[in-house]
Amino acid sequence: MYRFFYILKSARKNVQDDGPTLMLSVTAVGFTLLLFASYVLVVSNLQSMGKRVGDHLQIVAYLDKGFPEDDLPSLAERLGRMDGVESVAYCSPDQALASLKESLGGSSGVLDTLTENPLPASFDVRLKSPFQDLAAIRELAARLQKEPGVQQVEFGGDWIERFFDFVRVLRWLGGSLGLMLLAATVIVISSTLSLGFYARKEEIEILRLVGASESYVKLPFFWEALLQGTGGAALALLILWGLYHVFRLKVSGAWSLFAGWVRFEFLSPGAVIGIVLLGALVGGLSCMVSFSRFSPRP
Amino acid sequence: MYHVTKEFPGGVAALKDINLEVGRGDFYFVTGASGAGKTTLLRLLIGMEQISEGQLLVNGRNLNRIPPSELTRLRRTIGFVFQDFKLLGNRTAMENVSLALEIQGLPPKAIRQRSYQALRSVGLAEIREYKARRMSGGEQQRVAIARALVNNPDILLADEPTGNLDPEMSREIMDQFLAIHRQGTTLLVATHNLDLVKYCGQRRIVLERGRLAGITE
Repeated sequence: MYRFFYILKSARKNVQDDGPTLMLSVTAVGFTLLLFASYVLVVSNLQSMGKRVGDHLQIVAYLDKGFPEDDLPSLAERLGRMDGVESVAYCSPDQALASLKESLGGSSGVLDTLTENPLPASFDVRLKSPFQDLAAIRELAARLQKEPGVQQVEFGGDWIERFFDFVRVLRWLGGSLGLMLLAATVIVISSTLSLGFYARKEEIEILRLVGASESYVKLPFFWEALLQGTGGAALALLILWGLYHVFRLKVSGAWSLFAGWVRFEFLSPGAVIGIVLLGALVGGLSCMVSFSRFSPRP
Repeated sequence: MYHVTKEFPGGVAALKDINLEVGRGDFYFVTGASGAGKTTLLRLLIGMEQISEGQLLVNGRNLNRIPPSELTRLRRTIGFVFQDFKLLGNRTAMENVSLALEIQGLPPKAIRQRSYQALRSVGLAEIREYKARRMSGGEQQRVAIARALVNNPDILLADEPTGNLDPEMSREIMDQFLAIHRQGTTLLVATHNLDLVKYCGQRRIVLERGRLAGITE
């Protein structure tokens, strides 16, 4: 137990002696991890945005022009009985036109020139929550399309699919970039530790000569590396948190346009802990790299 | 040591075919001109260098095949005093001496007591809180001796321990060594100062160009 206490004492002494170098290293690690954490923040927000959009998906089944009104109740019943359908709402051509006019607002006058309503009648099909994923929606849309009287089925799946593809590509690109950033972090920390090794070369030699075990010699450096990794991660998160709030203030007005689909949120507690642990892991890894570069026995 | 040879990379032989036995409690000076192999001999005994040929036993342990953890334990039974002291300049005399005990995980109180005793035995108790770099050469050498003694070592090795000291201080250090020897510690002191050898009146191992030239009384 005392040995552990002496190792911590030695680590504290190292930190005191190497204060300025250590601060520089923590700052460098902090900014490198900031890039990584920013990437995690952007990707996680894009993913949750995509999920929110997906949750609001509904299918619109447009009917043939001249579909008999008498057959509407039976079609509605058939659609409502299908697997995954929560509810079915009929939208007549007049209702569709009124809705279009409303959405056009001041420009709706252009519709007054129409001699006849070109919009078809339709059913808005709401989905049960387990069916709110693209594969299930696509399958249901195909079944709806086969119903007699249904001319066309739309659910906006293409652009959502393209959006998810974009997020997937971003994740891969970000993953590669993240690995490079982490490698850079390992280089920064291990170089700082190597400087520490060289600066304390004589002390290490003396420790070994008086019979210190390798763990006694190396553990203070390990603690120092952990401090650099976690300190850098904490600094990165602090800066990111500040940037996030500035960004929120600047663009919060623009978000309201997107009806709550775009909500820019900070990293989840799990992600925050993950980044701190990643900092510690990178610190430990850097320490091992450093030991392998500088570990001669006198 | 049985037929011990030490060659450095490039084929330079620092020691050639040395046969030597030092008994428990003996006191030997190791003498010879510069480059005779005195320092290499001591460095082999503490495992700072590995022999190229032959067999080397220290305290019953074969250094040819000793694992790192055992070498660590062996070093705790050997005190080493260097010509350049090898102290941590930014630490106090107490901290330098305590280092040899802290690595063994002894309780702080025991470390303080034993470090104080060791420094008192070399006459430095009064200035134990001085930083090593603020001390004179003689004081630093005595701190190094205190550090070497604080573990009550079986063997004390000293490499030119008076090389940086004036004659008066050198004799004081030798008096310390004689006192340590009287307590039963085995001593090997490398020096080229024959006046000190005469002063102490101990046996000497003479090296010439890496070979054992003889052992004189």
